[in-house]
Amino acid sequence: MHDEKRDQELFEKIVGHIGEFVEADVSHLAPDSHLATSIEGMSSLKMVELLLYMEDCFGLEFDGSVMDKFGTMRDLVTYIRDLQDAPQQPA
Amino acid sequence: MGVVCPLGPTVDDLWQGLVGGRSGIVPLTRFDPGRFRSRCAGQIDDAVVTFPPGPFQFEIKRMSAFVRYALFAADRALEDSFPPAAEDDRNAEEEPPSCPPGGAVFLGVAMGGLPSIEAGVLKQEQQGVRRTSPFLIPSLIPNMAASAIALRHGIEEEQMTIAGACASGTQALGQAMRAIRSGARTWALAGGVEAVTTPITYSGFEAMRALSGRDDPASTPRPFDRERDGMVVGEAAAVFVLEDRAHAEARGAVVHGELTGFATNGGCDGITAISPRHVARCMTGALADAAVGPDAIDCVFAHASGMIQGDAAELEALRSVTADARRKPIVTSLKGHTGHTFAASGPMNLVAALMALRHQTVPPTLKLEKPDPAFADMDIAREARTTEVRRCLVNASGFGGINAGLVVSRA
Repeated sequence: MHDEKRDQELFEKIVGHIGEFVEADVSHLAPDSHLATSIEGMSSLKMVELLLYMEDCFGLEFDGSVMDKFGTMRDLVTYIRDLQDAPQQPA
Repeated sequence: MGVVCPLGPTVDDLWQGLVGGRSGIVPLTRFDPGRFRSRCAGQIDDAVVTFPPGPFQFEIKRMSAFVRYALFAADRALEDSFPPAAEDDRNAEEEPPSCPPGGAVFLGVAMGGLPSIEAGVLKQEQQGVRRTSPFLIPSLIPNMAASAIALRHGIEEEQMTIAGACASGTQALGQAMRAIRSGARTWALAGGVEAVTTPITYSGFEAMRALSGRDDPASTPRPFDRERDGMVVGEAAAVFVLEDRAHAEARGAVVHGELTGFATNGGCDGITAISPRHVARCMTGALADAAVGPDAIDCVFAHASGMIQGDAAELEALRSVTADARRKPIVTSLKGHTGHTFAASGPMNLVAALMALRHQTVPPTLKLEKPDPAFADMDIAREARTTEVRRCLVNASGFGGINAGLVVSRA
């Protein structure tokens, strides 16, 4: 069972980074909010760049195949948490 | 009309800089130019290129510089031509300028987002393919300047981008003029833009031996000077609202001048050389379109960029066009002030010509200190000259043997 407090903190961090990215207040976002429809002016190109921005923010590299599969904020939180927990692959 | 250039972000900045003999050429700062022979540029001050909130604000920030400069100049042109009515509660600092329906956009762009292409290639090689921005392609395609203007201002008729090298902007103005003349449009935004101050531009032009090697920005480029040694890269956007005269007068618009003639042609003796014969043919065509003879031209805003061959070829062409004229026009070039702004150079010339018509003053050819003896028979302005200016000829020529000319008259 995952740590709910940790997930909440991660969610808040992600909301903060999305706000920085779109330069707007996105405090209305909730775990069930859909990334594609809950952020004003979001487009498919912005979504790709947003995920690149998240990679930079968290020092991670997302798998290219999952980039199109994030539906809700919760999906993003789960993916980033799992990636943070994954053992580092040898170079 | 609207402009942003090395002399500033307003038409008055440009005009005051021209008549005051101010050079916008500086040691270039967009990258370290140490490995290049040419280390100067006519740069736009990005701090002044700002936009009120409005559609596509997020995307505009990610566009290559030429898109942002074109948008800025178009905003100024729209404000100039369609000022908000007194009762309009639009806050100019919070919304982009508005315009009536039925308009179109015609913009000349030669090299598009070359800085974005170069940066994109470097990022791909250094950080990997997947780090490429999804905005890379939209930011660099040459049409994005016209498209961004049209999208931001809700202009839903044709948006045309013309790539005719350094004649692009002049060709765009001519095409807009033809569309209005034909009755297809009552008004259009038209002009040109260029912003390619990036290393690959310098290496490419240096390989052609096209850039001035002078280090002192106060002494280069030198159009028509016997010590001219090439051009200096410049950045600019100049955009105009062109409109059917009756339509403009009916709505009480300020009319800066009247475009009465346009011609464009092709032909050169080499892929990049300027051909006197074809330039002369182009000038004659523009005059014929305006239904005037060479006597009627008071001033020629020359393409002259400080190139040895090009400056001489243009004056040879003018010499042949005016051979039988009773009076010879004054000739001037802006390039010593601004550098060569490529696709924007003709539209920049048009801004200067309209201001010359308004102020009855021909601006000087800056940095012309030692006139080439081969041009001794030509009346080249070396100082700002107050004189009667009723009609001007604007020239532009580009690689590939493209020439374009406009005749503009006092309103």
